[in-house]
Amino acid sequence: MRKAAILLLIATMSMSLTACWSNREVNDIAIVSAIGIDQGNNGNIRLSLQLAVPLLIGTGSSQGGAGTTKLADTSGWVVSEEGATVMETYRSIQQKLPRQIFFSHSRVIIVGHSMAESGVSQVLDFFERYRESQMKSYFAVSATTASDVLNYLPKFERLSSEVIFEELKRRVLPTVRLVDFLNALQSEGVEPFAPILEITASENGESPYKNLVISGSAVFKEDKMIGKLDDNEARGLHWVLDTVKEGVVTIEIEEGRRKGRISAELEKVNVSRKMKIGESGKMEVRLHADVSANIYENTSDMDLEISENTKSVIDLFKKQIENRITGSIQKVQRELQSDIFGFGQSIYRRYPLTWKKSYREQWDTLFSEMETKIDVDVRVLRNGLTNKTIKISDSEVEQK
Amino acid sequence: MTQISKYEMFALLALFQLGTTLIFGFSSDAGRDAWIASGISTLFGAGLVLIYLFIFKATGGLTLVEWFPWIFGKWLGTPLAWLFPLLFIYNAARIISDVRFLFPVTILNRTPDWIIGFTFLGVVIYALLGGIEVIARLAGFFLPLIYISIMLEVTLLASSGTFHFANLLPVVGEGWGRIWKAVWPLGLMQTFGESIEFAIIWSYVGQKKGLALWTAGGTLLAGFSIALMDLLAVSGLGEMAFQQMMYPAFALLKLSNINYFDNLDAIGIIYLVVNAFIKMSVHLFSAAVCLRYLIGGKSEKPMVVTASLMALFVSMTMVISFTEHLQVAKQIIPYHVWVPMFLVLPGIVLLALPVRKWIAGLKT
Amino acid sequence: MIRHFFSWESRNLLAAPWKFQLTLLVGALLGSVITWIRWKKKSKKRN
Repeated sequence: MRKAAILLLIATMSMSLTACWSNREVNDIAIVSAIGIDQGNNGNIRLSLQLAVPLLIGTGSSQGGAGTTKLADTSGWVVSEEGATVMETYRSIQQKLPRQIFFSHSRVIIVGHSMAESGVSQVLDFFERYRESQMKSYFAVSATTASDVLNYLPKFERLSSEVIFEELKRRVLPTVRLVDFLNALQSEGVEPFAPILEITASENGESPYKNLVISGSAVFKEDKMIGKLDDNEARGLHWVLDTVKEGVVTIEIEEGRRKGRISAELEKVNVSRKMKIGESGKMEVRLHADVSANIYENTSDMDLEISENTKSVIDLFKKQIENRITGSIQKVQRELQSDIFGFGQSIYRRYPLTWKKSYREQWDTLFSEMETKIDVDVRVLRNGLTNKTIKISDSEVEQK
Repeated sequence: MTQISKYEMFALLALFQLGTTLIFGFSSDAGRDAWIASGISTLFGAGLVLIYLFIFKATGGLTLVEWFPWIFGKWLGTPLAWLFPLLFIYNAARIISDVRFLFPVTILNRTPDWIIGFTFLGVVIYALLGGIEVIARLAGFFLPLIYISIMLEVTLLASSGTFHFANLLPVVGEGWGRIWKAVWPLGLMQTFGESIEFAIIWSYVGQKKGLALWTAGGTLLAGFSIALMDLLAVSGLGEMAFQQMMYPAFALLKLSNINYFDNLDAIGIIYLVVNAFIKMSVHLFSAAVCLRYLIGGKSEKPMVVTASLMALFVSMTMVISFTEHLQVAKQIIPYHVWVPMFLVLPGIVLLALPVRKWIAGLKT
Repeated sequence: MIRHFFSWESRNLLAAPWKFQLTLLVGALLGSVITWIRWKKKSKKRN
């Protein structure tokens, strides 16, 4: 009896301790680094997966054998397929691959332009539900199709997904993670937006070399893209959302003997918003931007040591920033009429009762009637390594 | 007589109440106010647990099953007492089902669920055969581990800038309605009502002085930890995602984004395994003690095995889809089973206590 | 095995929670019978 029990114990333990019933080794999986979704024919979707080819990630192109050199320009491989749903398409891609598709390392989800315009909610459901998907991966809209972006051959990195990820992470223009996008989509008083990715020539005019850039923001109304903000307007959005981390502001100096420009690098930006409801029920949003900047370029002959000059420079900076923000807000309010700033949500957070009583139902029309007031505080912290500007020696000539 | 220390009881209680709620997003029906709902549930819950403790003390240290025959006599009391071990077995079966569903969607995605249930239960039975002290000592060891994990999670997520506390505004924006709905009855009954099982565990505590303090402390610690996790989940995920995700805690852990600490899922697995283990052990142990008393056996060991096998059988036959499994926990069980058994029956016992004493006084 | 045979199946619980309550009660009564018999035997032994 005792012996039988011990035998049974040994048998069951050796079964369970080997562990890893569903183990998957690295050489059995195909790691997806980026996901692209486009519109296909007959209402189907076209799913493109960029797969990292591990063999090629480590090898320098010089080492590559005859077979790999061609591929080694990129270590990614884009596979795509059409189907009715994301799940179905993913299965049919799986059928063609020897390794199992593994989503856990995907960092970006890109949607093609026409897909974005026809609505994204039905394709995003899968990525919220599936266990390997990442809510923190970045979400972007391609200016053309998603597979264009995935097929882009980068110069710095091996995978275009790496380029996209790093660029989105630096946040020069506003970016969103999937979780933020989904929240904005489903919350009231705020509409989603997403950065636009575009492939441009890396030099002005015709150039054989291409570059992948964030070129603005796609504005959504519900789940459909209804318009876009260009580079400058997207910067304004960046300011309103208080997500600016780095940037440069340039002003034109008209006075003085030599006209020129002064550029300042932003060191710290803090934008706070206050919602006000006026007597007639008119809403007003007050944005207050607190900016610290360092001047690193001065092409005019303005002497920044003189405090009056500094003052007028600061005033010009204020104007410049104000214009940037108002430009963006006006475009969104008048043309696009979609509350991507989340002003409605801010009202809801500040005045939940009034919001529910009188705004919730008709926010779409009320948003464009909203008034905005912007005031900016600029402090110049440093003037760089020199206070003086480069003086051209015509004064010396006079002295002689 | 086996004995456990007060700290071990405290740890056991705290882990038991944390339970799988740490993963499931406690009172997520209250949306962004879930943390308020959890806080309120905790306060009421602590009161409820103290009432159980009061009855336990007033009956002179009788365990849960002994209350009913003692108050209502042999003919009415025995069937009432029998209800409890059966319910505990059902509750244990629910935990097994939770585990059977949670493991495949999180880590072991192609392991058949019955293997998971079976091995998990095997470990629990093995520990239980060692007696309650083994479980209690384990709990005493696990509690700091869980709190270290929680602190690690919070620091990692906070330093990766995951939390946006504006997501919590406006506080009580949708009114108190949905908060109360989350508190009553689910918030109060789940975890805190189930703590009635400690009316059995308490009899094993060696030093009964100061038991109320430790019990209240354990309840508050667990409850406020749940509230904290809700708070963090909402501020990290936003209200909509928090309500939509079936396992907000896992979704939250996946958001961490510091260079090399990418996926913190492992912490979630620690929560799940430890809490499910403790909860299942306490359920099965309570059931076993009840059965032993009612059947009149000498040892708990055969009862542990019987109760476990019954729980496994119930679990294997209970679930067809997980959505329904959760729906049952939210809509049916609290109203139809937990309220009558965790609230009404103890309430009657509480009211009958002075009557019983008065009658006893008459006799002498 | 017949589907939806056991009263503790989630679908049965959703449709007819009283079945589960009934099962608990019947189980408790059956159990009580065992208890009563065992306790009687015990008290007989003691006598």
